[in-house]
Amino acid sequence: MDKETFLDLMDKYIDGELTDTEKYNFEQMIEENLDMKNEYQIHRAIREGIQREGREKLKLQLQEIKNEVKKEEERNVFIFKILKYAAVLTAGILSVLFLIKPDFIYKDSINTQVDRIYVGQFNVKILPLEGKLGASIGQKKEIVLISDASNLYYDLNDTIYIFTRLTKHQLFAPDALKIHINQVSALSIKTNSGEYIFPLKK
Amino acid sequence: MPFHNDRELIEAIRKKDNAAMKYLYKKHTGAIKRFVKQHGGEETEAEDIVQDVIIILFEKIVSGYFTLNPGVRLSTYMVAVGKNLYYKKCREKGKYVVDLENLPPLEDTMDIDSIINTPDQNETIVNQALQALQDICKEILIKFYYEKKSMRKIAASLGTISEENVRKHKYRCLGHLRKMITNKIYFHG
Repeated sequence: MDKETFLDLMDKYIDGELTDTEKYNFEQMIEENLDMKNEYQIHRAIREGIQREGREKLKLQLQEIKNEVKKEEERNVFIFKILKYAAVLTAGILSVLFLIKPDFIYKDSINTQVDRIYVGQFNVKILPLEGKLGASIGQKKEIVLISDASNLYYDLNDTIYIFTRLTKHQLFAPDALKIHINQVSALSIKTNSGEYIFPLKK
Repeated sequence: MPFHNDRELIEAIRKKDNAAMKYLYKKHTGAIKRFVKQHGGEETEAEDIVQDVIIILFEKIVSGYFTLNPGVRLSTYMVAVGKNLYYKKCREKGKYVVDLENLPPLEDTMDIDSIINTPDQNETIVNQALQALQDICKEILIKFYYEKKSMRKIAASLGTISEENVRKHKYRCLGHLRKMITNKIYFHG
């Protein structure tokens, strides 16, 4: 029997691919021939070694997957945190607007006073009638929130957008610095990881 | 990448597809981790069990011995294997876990011993010889013997090498390995 045929036979034996008779013959053959038995034992040890090596390779692949999944989970936690803060901020703004100054949403920040808290930069966007995101009017206005609340969650680096159904004409009217709460359709916080829109229920 | 059913997922695992492995890890391992932690295991222990379960599953799938009984889901099978692995590890530490649920069948954990055991002297010699082997040799041998890929698929994955060349390479690589370990390892009986 040539070496390659014997190799195939050993593989079939190890993989359980021989019939009962073939298996018996193989076992008889290696029992009677010490060289063949030695070859078989070495081959079996090699096969087990390859098995271990393959397993290690698979473990590395799984480790990489585990790290990827962990990163994804951390990112999700971060987004959830942002959403949580954004929700708290929205609720905070709304409560303040309704409870303290119900007819007011923002005004120029030049007149900064002690009881006014700077919460970031507001962009105004016009919302089309169908309620989807509208075009920015390209005018940034700084917002001063009239409130004595100090526990609002916000990040000064975030940009907050207000979506309104006011027309461009109405926005640029002399009294446009005031937007009544009923005219605000959604609040949005734009962060490095994306933009989060919070439609406001009327 | 979504998999519509266990069969699709199993086929992708057979190919060692990374997306399938990730899906398996994300969707089918939570229950195993919970079980281990609820029964006194640490987070790292739970991760190790998950890893071993996936390895066992992969090896059974590629060797053609894997079958799911009718009505049994892949996730259920994996939890059963995970429980057995954990029980075994606990027993080895002299720790006994009392689980009020029914014990899962043990027949699907046949390869557990070889995963858990530490290598003996012969194994160390073979491992060292494998490390000294050319990368192409190692890749062909692992793909053929561990991942049970056909010569045609191995040739395709390597790109510039024919099926016949892969076969010759495999034979030559085994020869190198044999030379490296002969007279270094000893067998009893």
